[in-house]
Amino acid sequence: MDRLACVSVPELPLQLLLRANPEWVSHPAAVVAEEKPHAALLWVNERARAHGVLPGQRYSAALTLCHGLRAGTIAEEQVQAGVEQLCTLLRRFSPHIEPSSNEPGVFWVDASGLHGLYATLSAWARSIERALLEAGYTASVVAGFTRFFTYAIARAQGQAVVCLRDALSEKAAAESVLLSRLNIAPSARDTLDKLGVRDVGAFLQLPSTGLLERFGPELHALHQLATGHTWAPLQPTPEVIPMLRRHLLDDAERDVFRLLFLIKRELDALLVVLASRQQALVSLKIDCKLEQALHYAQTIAPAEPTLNAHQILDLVRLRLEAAPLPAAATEIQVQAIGIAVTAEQLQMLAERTRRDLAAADRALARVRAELGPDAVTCAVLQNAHLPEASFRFERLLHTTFPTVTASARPNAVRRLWQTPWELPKSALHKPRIGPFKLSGGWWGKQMVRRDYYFVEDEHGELLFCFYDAERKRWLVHGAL
Amino acid sequence: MSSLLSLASRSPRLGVVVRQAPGWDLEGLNGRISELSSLHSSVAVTVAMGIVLNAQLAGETSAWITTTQSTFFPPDAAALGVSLQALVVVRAEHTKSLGRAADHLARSGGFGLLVIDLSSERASDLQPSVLAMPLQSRLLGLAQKHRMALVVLSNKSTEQPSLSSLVSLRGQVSRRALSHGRFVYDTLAIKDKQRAPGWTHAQEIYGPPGLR
Repeated sequence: MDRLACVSVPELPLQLLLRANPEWVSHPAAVVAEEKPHAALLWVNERARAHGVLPGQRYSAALTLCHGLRAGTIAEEQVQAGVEQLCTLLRRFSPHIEPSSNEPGVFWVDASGLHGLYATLSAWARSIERALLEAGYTASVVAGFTRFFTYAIARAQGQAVVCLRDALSEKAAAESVLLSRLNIAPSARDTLDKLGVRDVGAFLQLPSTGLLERFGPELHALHQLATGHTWAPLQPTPEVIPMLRRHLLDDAERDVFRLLFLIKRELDALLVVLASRQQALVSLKIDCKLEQALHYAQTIAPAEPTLNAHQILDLVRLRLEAAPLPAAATEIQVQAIGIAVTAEQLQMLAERTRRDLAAADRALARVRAELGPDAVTCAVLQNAHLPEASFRFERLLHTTFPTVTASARPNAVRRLWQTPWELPKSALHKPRIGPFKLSGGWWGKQMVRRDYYFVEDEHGELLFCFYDAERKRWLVHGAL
Repeated sequence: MSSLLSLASRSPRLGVVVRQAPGWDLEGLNGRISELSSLHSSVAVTVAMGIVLNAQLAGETSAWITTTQSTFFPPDAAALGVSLQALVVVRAEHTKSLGRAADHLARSGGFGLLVIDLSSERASDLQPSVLAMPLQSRLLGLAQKHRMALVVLSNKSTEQPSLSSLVSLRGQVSRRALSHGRFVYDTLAIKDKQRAPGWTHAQEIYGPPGLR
């Protein structure tokens, strides 16, 4: 059976908060949802739990239980950064790490196939715990067989390493874990407590269907997982490869422009990676190994996040000219640091860096010069019914970037002829769809009335035509 | 740089795609000369206007180069969602001027999409000198340099050859009726230098008022 381990960094957001406020370490402490007296507690430490303070309680209510309670907020981004840092650390011990999607600080780690690297599973688990301690985190590591039981045992231990021999001993150890240690909604936890269901063993005895009706799908899903009715394989998060490119030079190089050429090649590749991750570049680190065992490093930061290679290279050139290499370079390493941008921001970056509207306008002027002032136009809709009157072409002097939204129901676009032409005789007797009566010029001397039809000609083209009563013939005005 | 951008979220919903085939979106057309041909001069207009909409959704500037004899029907284009204000329409007296206009616009690098409507005149035979080889060669180089899509509309059958060997992608557009007022526009790639030809891009399109 494949082995997995649960690494629990208990109350990770609180541990991160305490790293920022080290004077709170020896006090009861909690993370609150917001800085208000009635804000709910999200995470509490053991000292606070000893006073009866639990997640879900209001801060003002918790203060009555524990006068010396320290509390603060922590941003979601900081928590996410902490999770990513821990993932990177845990990847030193296993290639497959799955962070919990709803409880930061809980990770499932693939423990299989490590016999060649570690003498025993417990040696592996202890090395994980040591590494986390060195990084400043208290954690428990439980190597077992199932997600839920390893999680429950890990949550019950504050700081411990547990290796379970078999699935039976794993289950036995998990059954005594109190439900208050698990990430269960406080209301559900309190209700279960009133019913006398306080530990995992009693929780497993509950009927599954009753849980769904009484407590909803979340607790039901947890019960299904705990009883083994649902099972999901480890879903590790992919490792984020740093945006780093290295180039070994065949011959040592000191010329600025040749170095720029080499840097551009790596930069172009990095910008593609950045864009695919929906990021823009905030800084570029250039590290060069030089002859005579020297080293050269520079960091270039554009004024704002960008994907414009020319802009970045210009800054690199200025830096290389202002601070020349003391010796010729034998190796160049280029690292891009990116920042997430929204799709709209990327679009704006694309607009600013991609098309030069002034150049487009100059091109339009050349077209006007060659083909006449009326050659460059844009269509403008008019409030009229006859097809030729429903729009006009207006002279266009300047190009603009478009602002569009696709229609919900895509429609065909007809071709309209400037001068209607006679319908071929072969189509005269074909079935017609219509009439569609259009008229215009009611206010003038000559009102125009037309009955339009769609006719399929012998070639299968759908012609948009009308009968000209004055000239007594069918005319094609457009085609679909 | 638009090639760096994921256009998936911006692709226009051109109806239910019966068989999906990437290649007729802007990313697939960038840097090459593509030819959209059809037996009927009007069928390819709908597909081409869809590409214009795709370009506009990606924030690209576009130009439609045609003669004064005929053009796309602007109210239909507006109903599709195309921004008429942002679509440059170059109207020349003669087809032979279309290539020169395209050359000016392509040279500027200020356009992401150029559509040259060679089937806007009623003459059924395409004059070979309209887009001479030297001009096509220049246009291809400019399309590659500026990451621009160049789409040429032509009126011809599948058996007739492409404009030239420089055409990288040739699609033959046909239309079939689905039900009253609904059609499927099939664009069969009969030439594709980047991928093997033979794939089809199908789009469900609604007919204009009166056909629905």
